[in-house]
Amino acid sequence: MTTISSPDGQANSKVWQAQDGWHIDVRGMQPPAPMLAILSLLEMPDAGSRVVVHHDREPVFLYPELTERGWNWRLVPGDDREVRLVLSREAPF
Amino acid sequence: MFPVDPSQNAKGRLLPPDVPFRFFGAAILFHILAWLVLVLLAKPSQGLTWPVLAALHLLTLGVLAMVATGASFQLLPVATKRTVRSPNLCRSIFWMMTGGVLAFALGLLGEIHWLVAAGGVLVALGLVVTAVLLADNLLGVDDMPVVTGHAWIATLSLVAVEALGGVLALNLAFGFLGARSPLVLAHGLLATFGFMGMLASGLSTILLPMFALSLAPSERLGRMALACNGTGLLLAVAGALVEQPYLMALGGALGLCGMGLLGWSLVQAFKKRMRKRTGFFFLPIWTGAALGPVSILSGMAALFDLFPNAGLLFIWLTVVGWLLTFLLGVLQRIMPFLASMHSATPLGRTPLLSQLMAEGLTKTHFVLHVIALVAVGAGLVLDVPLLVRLGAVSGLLGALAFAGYGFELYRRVRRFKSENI
Repeated sequence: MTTISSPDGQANSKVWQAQDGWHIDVRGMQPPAPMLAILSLLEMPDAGSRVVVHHDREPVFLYPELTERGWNWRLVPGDDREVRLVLSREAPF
Repeated sequence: MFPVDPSQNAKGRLLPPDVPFRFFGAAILFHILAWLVLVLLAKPSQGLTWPVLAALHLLTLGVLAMVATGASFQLLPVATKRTVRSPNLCRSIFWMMTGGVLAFALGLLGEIHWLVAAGGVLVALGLVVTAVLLADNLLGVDDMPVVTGHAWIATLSLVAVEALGGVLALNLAFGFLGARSPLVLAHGLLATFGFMGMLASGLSTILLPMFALSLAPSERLGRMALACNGTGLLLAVAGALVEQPYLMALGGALGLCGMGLLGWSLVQAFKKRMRKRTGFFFLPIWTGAALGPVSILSGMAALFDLFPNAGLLFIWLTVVGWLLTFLLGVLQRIMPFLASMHSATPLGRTPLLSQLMAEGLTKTHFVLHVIALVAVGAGLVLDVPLLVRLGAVSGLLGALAFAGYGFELYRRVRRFKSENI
């Protein structure tokens, strides 16, 4: 697991790679840090075509930014303490 | 796997789109009306005449308060992580404010005292319910103290503004106050620097980084700015009520420090932004933000009579130069942003922001707005009514261009929905 520290010393995002692609956990971070962490991951050269986001609420402000970058999203069931999204660079689900 | 409709997720639900957009739509129409009144009826050389007061309140209540109310209902929950409790209450606030602003302005234009009082009371009711909803949303929240702290001061200022505004409106009808100038000044300071200014300052520490894709500005500097802004407002209002210009000037100096600290922290955060090309809408935002300190300086000049008509220039720079310029810049961005979010398809797509924004119209608006700002400001200081009227014509044309931007956004969203949903 990789921890990405934000420059202002606030909560960090946790990033790890699993069989289903990259995962990023931005729970506990204050806006707009979750959005920046997710977009930074998507802009990494090895981000792949599928990223799973673990969030503490639905990131509605992220959606226009995803569209601008050619990514789709869908909400999928997660555990009780999270909103889980699957982001995909592929064609719409 | 079956896709989940994003709008059905309780943890991040947006308010129904009609809630913020009814406030924004009304603000766009009142913006046109305000300039129209200035063009047709204002005689600025006679000072704050009734038509000038009508135009002023169409701008402050009809545009600034409408935008602030609609935007806070939708955007404050980003910081508090709690949705505003009742969309229906938000809608009823809209009707109270819209009806109230219309009655208030018509009353001033027709010099119908009871209509002014009725409109004032209706707007006051709407804004008091707004304050209750905002306080309810803020209660128990200790995250993001810079945002919530400014929002608390804005909410408390709003209650004070409405209490004073209600007294002043009733005084117009029944004439029971002896000296009303201190109350008028305190009312104006609380409305502009208290309610509007604090809300704009607090929300800008979330919104502007979100627009530019930068980290939030330094919390330490934000807390210092909050302390300066809060103390400065308190001193300025106290100074107005007890008629002590030096106390007001001290409040103004603290306000300058607060604006400086907040501006500096935002600039530092922006240096590390991800989005290198930030878009045209940042020009009115920065222009408005830069005119905030200028308005305070002109207020100080007015306190000590440094040049003729400094008081009128102070009102002009505060309401139009700082707040209106800044808020219309923000509105240019949040309207398409919210429209895009509300148009999300179940397949996880939104319209592209660049496809929703008719940037040519915003550029036209900005040019005409700046011409109006400079021409009316110069006309007020130099006491040249023709300059004021020509500037107002430019402002009116700019307001029409802005309305065109809003209409074009609506048309483009409709087209996206018809093609994709």
